[in-house]
Amino acid sequence: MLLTKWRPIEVQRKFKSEFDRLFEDFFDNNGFKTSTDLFQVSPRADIEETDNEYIATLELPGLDKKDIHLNLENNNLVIKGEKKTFKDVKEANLICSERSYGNFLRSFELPTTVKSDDINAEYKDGILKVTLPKAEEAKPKEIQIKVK
Amino acid sequence: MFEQKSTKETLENGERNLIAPFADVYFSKDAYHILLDMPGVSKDNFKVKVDKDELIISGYLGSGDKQEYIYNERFYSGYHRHFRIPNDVDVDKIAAHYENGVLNLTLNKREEFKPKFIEIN
Repeated sequence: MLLTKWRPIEVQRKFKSEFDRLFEDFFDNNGFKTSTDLFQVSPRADIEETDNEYIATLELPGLDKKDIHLNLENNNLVIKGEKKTFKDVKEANLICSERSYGNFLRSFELPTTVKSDDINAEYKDGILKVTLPKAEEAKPKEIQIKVK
Repeated sequence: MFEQKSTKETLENGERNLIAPFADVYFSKDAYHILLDMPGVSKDNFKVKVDKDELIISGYLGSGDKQEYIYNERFYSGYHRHFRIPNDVDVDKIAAHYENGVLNLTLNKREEFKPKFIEIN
């Protein structure tokens, strides 16, 4: 028997990749690839597609625009940020806490390329809406069939 | 005290798939505070109702033009939740504030229930 040093980080890494795979299989929306890291906050998302663009809608209530970071990495839309705790009430005691706080990160692999310069993002009523126009070559084109 | 009730419900306006929003509840010496995550509801689509000792909160998501979904996690059309109001609350003094998808309710306590300091001569 070979004795190796126990490295807890390996256990954590293995667990994380198993978990990611579980999520991928579980949320198998037509094989759409998305990943969410094991953070405290996991915002729900919808992605819609039209001929010209993708529209990603994420639920991020109670954030400051400056706490949301959007990136496009290799055709993956990456949204990350931090949801801060409620500090307005002084000397308040907690009875029940269901809402989540902390960091979040979600990434979505887009099926076709997009025009990175024309990406538009709005944050209203706790919803982050990202509009990503498709690159010209990715738009569906009608091909005329000539019959001889 | 604050009981959680109901998730999906069929309401008067026909079938609606509603979920219970997550809530944080706090209390201070003057009031109870309820924070609810209700993203996507615009100010005019809220209903906060007091019925005897029940606080009923509803919020509906706009229907909008739905294109084809390639990924869908938000299958519901709104939020709905009840809370039982503790008896030290003054129901005429319930305040509601909505910002960035979070509904903040303040249930002020009745004067006689607020703790008072007694002076010792």
